[in-house]
Amino acid sequence: MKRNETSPHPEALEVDRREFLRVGGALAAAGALASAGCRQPQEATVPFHDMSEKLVDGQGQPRFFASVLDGSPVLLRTREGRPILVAPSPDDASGRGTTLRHHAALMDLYDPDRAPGPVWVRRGKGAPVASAWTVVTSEVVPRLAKGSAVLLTGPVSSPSLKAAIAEISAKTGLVHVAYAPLESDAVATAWLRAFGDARVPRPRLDKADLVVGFGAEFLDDPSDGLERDFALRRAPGGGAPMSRFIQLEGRLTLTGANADRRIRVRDSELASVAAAVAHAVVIGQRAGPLANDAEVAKALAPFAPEVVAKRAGIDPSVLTGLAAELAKARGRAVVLAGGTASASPSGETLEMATLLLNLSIDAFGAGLFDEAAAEAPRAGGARALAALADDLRAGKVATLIVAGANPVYDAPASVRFAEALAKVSFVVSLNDRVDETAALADFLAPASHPFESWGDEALPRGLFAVQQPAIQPLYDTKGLLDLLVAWGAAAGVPGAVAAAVAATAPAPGAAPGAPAPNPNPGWHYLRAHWGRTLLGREPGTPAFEAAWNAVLRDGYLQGPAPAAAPPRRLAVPALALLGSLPEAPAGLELQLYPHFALRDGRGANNGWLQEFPDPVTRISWGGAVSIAPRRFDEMKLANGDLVEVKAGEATLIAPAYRHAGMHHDQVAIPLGLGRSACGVIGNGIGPNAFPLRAISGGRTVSAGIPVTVRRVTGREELAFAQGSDVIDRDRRPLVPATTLTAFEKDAKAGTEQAKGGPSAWPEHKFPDARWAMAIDLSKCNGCGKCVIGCQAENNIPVVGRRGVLDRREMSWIRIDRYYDAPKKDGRWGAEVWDGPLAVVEEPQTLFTPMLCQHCENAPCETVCPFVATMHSEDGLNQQIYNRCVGTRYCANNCPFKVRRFNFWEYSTAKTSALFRALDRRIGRFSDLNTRGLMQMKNNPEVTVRGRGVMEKCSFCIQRIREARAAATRAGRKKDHFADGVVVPACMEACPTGAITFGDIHAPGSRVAALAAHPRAMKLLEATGVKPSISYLTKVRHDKA
Amino acid sequence: MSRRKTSVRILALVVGLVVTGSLAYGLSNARKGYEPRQPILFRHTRMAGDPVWARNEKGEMVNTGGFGIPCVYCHTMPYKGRHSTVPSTVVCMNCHGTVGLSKEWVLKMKEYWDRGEPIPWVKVHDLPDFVYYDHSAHLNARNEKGELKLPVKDAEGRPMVVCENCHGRVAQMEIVRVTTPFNMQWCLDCHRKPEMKASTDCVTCHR
Amino acid sequence: MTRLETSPYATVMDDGQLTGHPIVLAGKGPYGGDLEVDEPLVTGGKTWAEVDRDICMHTEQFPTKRWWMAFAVAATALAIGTFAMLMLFYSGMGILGINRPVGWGSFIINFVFWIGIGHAGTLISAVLYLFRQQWRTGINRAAEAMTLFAVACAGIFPIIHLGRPWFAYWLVPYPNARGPLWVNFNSPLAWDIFAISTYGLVSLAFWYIGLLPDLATVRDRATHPWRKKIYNAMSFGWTGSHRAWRHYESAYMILAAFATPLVFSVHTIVSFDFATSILPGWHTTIFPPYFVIGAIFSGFAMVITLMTFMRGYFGLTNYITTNHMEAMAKILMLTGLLVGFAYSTEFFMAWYSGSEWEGFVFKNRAFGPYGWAYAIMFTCNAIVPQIFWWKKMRRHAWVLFVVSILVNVGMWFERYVIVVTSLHRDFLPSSWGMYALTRWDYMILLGSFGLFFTLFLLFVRVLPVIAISEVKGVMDPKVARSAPTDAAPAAGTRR
Repeated sequence: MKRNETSPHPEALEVDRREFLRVGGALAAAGALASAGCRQPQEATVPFHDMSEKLVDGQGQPRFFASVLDGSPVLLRTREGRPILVAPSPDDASGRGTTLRHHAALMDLYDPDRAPGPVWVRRGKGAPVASAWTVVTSEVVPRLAKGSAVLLTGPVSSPSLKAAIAEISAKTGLVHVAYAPLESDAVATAWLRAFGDARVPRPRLDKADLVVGFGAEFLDDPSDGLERDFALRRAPGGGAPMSRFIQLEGRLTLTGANADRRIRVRDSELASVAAAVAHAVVIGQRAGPLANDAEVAKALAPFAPEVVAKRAGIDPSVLTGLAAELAKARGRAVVLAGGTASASPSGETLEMATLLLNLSIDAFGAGLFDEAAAEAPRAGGARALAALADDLRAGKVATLIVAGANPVYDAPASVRFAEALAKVSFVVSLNDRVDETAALADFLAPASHPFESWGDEALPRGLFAVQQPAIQPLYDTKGLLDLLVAWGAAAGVPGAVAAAVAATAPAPGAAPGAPAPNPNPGWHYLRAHWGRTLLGREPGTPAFEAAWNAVLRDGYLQGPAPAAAPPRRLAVPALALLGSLPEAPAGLELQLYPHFALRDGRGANNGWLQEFPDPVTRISWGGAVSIAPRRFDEMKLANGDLVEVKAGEATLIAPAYRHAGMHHDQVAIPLGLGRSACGVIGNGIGPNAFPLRAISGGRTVSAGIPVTVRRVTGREELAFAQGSDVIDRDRRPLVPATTLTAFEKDAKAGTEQAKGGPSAWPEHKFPDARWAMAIDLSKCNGCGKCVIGCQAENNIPVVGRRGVLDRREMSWIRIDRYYDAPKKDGRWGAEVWDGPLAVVEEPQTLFTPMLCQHCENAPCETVCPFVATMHSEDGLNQQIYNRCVGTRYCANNCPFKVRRFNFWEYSTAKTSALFRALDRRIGRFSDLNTRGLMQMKNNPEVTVRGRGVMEKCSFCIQRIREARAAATRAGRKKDHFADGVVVPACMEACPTGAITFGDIHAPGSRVAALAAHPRAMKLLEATGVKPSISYLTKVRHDKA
Repeated sequence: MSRRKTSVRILALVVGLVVTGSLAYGLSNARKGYEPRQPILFRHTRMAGDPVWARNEKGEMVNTGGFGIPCVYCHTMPYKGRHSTVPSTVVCMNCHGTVGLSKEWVLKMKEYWDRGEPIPWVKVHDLPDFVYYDHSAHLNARNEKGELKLPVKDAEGRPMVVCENCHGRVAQMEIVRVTTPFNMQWCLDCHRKPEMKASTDCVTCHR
Repeated sequence: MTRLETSPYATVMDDGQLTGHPIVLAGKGPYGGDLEVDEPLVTGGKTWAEVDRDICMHTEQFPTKRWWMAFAVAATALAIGTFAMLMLFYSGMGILGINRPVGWGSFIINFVFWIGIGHAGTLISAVLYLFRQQWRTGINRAAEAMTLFAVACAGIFPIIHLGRPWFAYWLVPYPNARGPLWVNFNSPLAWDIFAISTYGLVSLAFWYIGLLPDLATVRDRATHPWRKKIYNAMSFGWTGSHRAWRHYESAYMILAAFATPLVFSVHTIVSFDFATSILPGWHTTIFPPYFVIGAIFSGFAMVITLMTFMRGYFGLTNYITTNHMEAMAKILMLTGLLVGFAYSTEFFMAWYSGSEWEGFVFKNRAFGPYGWAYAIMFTCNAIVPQIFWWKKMRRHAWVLFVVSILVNVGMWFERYVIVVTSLHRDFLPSSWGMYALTRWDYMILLGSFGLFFTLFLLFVRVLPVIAISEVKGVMDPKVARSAPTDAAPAAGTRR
């Protein structure tokens, strides 16, 4: 090649033609023929302009950040500066757990519906107009300085934020109101009255042999991390004996579904029943320290088990028996309440009765409560909100600053917040988008996502965590702390606030070349606050920097131990909370429970959360009015028929759902749905039940609400992610399950199934490593974090409501929920699949995480004509997207139906207006998957699949390959891999350790031990497919 | 058999061979010979080539050859990760902040630097996006005897940089060109060699 | 009826006079007994020249209004299907009814349906030819054409049912530089390619060879020089020489021998697409014979449908006589019986196997949510054809027509039942689901019928719809010559 042939204008790439000819004419035809397979287009490889030195070793490698989100420590995995995975912090001493919202937070971060910058919303009069920070600041600061301003936030647990707010209030008289829609203050009240200290210690479920729950929901809201301790005692043979869990509740919750014994009691009766059990323990059994306490006896007197049991429609012996069990397990048992049931009018009674029970069975004395981890429950603040609304109406408030609260959407209808808001002269919202409340504000000053901004968090056990950003703000937003500090300083707040802002300016005497100081006042304030309160050093000093970096690396700091809890001695006046036996509730009652994935609906614009099927109802993209099966049949309803729910003034029309295990006199509706201004993804999904709630006694009441339900014409299909609900394990032994009694007789009980014949195929050879998985169904509680974890790790698209209705979910791992049909003289007819009352009224729930079984004789492999799926020599069932042409035969032939087909183009937006008009779904998919920055969440180690291609669980092949490459780099042999070298995303996300993955040939590998365990069962042996996944029996503790 | 018929037969045979052959080659998507223009005429001969000392017209000894800069000075990481990176402009500026400021292409590069724009290099050795190649796994691969699996001597037995096994003698290229087929067949030819003991599972490269 | 002095063929006998019983010549037997002679296969006392005219006429005159109407309908259907396919290629499989449990839907159903239709033609021309069934001559040409068009329709579906149809050529084992990477010869879908292409090609060759003499006849009758040229080229310059006839006969015989096994192999292999899976309801050894019989069954039904049309539109009642129709009705009845037998065997085996999965699938088929489809299938295929036990019905044009339509409907639903009911409820109850065709499914199904009839209507316009030479071969020379207008026999006449 001679020099003069180079083009003088390199940018102009019209030389393609020449180059193409050089490559050869034959290719032209072939190139057209093999569009994707042949000629790649000319690709650019664009390096950094000026790469930071830290990245020299970091390119193409993940970088991890320990941070904290919504009060739970998390580990952020980033690639090239993009967060791509949220995992639970591996070394978390706080005991806090993660919820689905933590794992799905990426979708909130990259949400294209976030406000791109400050917005002049104009009180909803006329279209919102883009504004600028200077404008907003100039509008807010003088008003803030003038006083009579109110700051309305969600619950604030960040010490530095609290401090900043306090400083600002001290100077400007800013009033801080915190409102959390879901929290009911029953627990706090009861504990405060009983012990003079509202802090609640953490129940030690790992120490309890017997757990009794009165409407407890520690699995439905696992942010307190109880599910981890709980799981430690759920499998037999693990050192300590199995724990037994008895749940009394109205609606079948995930917690109740995991109970060994479940007793149906409507919410409004729960308090009386709890008191009755206490009565039976204290007076009946004469057990515990309270046995001879006359006051207690007097207070409990009205709750005689016989009376209560009769009203509650249960056999008195059930209550007395329960009491006997508790008395027997004294010092080894713990009683839990909380959850939606204690948000009923009788919630305080319920909590009080629970306290009495715990006292009388020595739960405190025997250390079944971890006093060191005691912390005050989140304040609901309904009273404060109501008061604020009144003040607004009275015109007492000139300026309202809303941050992290959305009362227009989630306040009870009686508060009439929207109307009150109109009375305020100036409203600014610091939420991240123009939501229902911000729509009625003057300005939106969007706050950054926690992953983009600095903050901190106070954790139990005196731990403090730093919320450190992993990425620059994606939009023109500012961190909440930055914003408040900056505004405060501008409003003339002296001290730390002013100092923090001053620190952002370059020092006067600084050398010209010196690096500019961090421009975020929040950062300076945070460090100063930590320096003052925790590290005891001045920021800038080497000692501080060392300590600070250590905190950033570890993610948390052990601060001073919190004040010791008071001795758990009952204050007699507290017994008044029990009150007298209320008259029996009549008619239907309503429970409004937080949506399992969305909780209070703040993240309703999150496709992953919307699509996640409720573990019990299996409904995704929306919610329904849950009705007891018998009532449902009496009303001649079918799932999806519309019903009208009338509670007081408020009415709601929503589809009906036949909710197994629901108490006959109770209906339930999920909260957190029906957002109208959260974004393209979440708007108008499901009904908004918040208005149905009431405020009584300064508490939001979301259970035990008297209600009438009537059928109205019309249907709204429910997006179920599952076919049939019921399984008859006599005929289809697809879920190994048994009872403790049976298990003790025969460890193999529950794994019986038909044996397969000899295989016509030659055995596969696995010379070295062979990957396998074991799933312990006794530990799995069906929470579904694995589903979200997998979705995030493997770039799995969101298919939307229509997608689920069309039965085209893409999630590689799903959690099958079955109701076990009890043996009915061996056989049921075909009708068992339709959920007969005998099965679904008192359901025995089974959960099975179902993913590709990587069968040894995989049926999918033999039928693919294109050789797109084959077996690897380390036991994987490989799926090669670029070879797949999409005959779908593999999916048909897969007995587990775990293969997922890309029916649509999810990865690139289809723009043709004509075809979008012909089928509206085409447009919807780009809304859900490819808008704006969404695809920044994608994992670069995993191919983004195009349409017409089959995909499935790969056992996180990218992590396996990385482990192999790492071994090569380190010069290690690759024949075997120790446990923990490869951890797939589902296992990483699983809080209970139910999933074990590893090399089954490696010496001493855990998965090998589990696969050989007597409880282990490989599904569908009769078909001879030989799965690589072993399921360990779900053992139900049936021994009273 | 008449002569006419034979000639016809031979013709038909030739045509058939040509057609199938070109089809097979066409579908083989070989990248050999691909030599795109770059935004900047970067001469690897000058940077990585061997020095050649000669007298210039002024009679001074000058290096008319290359500076023999090792590959990894610019292309960091190949031993540590999947990617062997393309240098960011700051690497060029390490030297060109001071030297070669009269040269056309250096100035071009400096324009990019001053504009604060990255240089849009054109990918030469470009595998399809569904191929997950790992530099580190290849450069560190050793056999039982602990020797590198990749040859370090070329066909004539002359020592060579390991990179050249796939990228060719880049140090001698004015404009970088693909000198190997760079397609699946070519990968497998090597992976299938018994002494390589390399995996031929699909997932080795495709995920 | 007895006419002692001459052969019965001497008299002009009309289609209406046919009884379906042989003619009895009293005392004409070798020893004075009665002699039974078959009724003539061509009625109306046609002469050779008339045969040529009657059949070639339709290629020579301007199409009738009825033809145009039929063609317009067919072409519209084809256009609709093509549009739906455009949508399919733009947006992907999502617009169809298929979903997770039911990964195969209308496309595979249509594919098997059309392949089935495509069976009668070769069966009639090859198998009946080898068995010397002379009555085939009246219908084999059209039946073979039907076969080709049906295979063409069928061939479309396996391609468009792919998620990425533009890579369909990967199914062909051609030299490549991917390793090289071949197709998976374990997969029945790979076998399909070979089976169907072979069948298509052989049928085409067989059909075209049969056409040669007739194309020559059309050429000889042609007046316009261009027309002459074209048909001459198409007939490869057929001279009708003795040598040509000799080669022709042997070639025809050889191809018939070729085609015969294919008739059975193709649908056997198509049935493997299901039988080799592990899916209860598919995983059965009975499938090959079951599918072949079903194919012949549906094929003959389609032939009857078309022949009824042709008799009516082109007045070919003298060539496709009521006797022809009755013969086909008999075959329909027999195969119908066999199909019914296959259905009941399936049920017996499901029960006899004692397998939960098998048992459930078949219970679910008949009484589950898709019981209606099963009912349609069973009634139309196993019960309705039994009406042909009555001779009157066999010879009644409308009954034949209606039954043949019903059988086609029934056979489409047979495939629907096999594909859908097996998939929609298999091993794991959690992943059960339902299936329904979307408007796009229907449009493409309609389109395939559009293609079929468009091709067929074009065929009847440009090619002789009846094998002239073969028909002439089965006529009684005395009658055929006796006519006054008897000119020198056309080149297409066998001597």
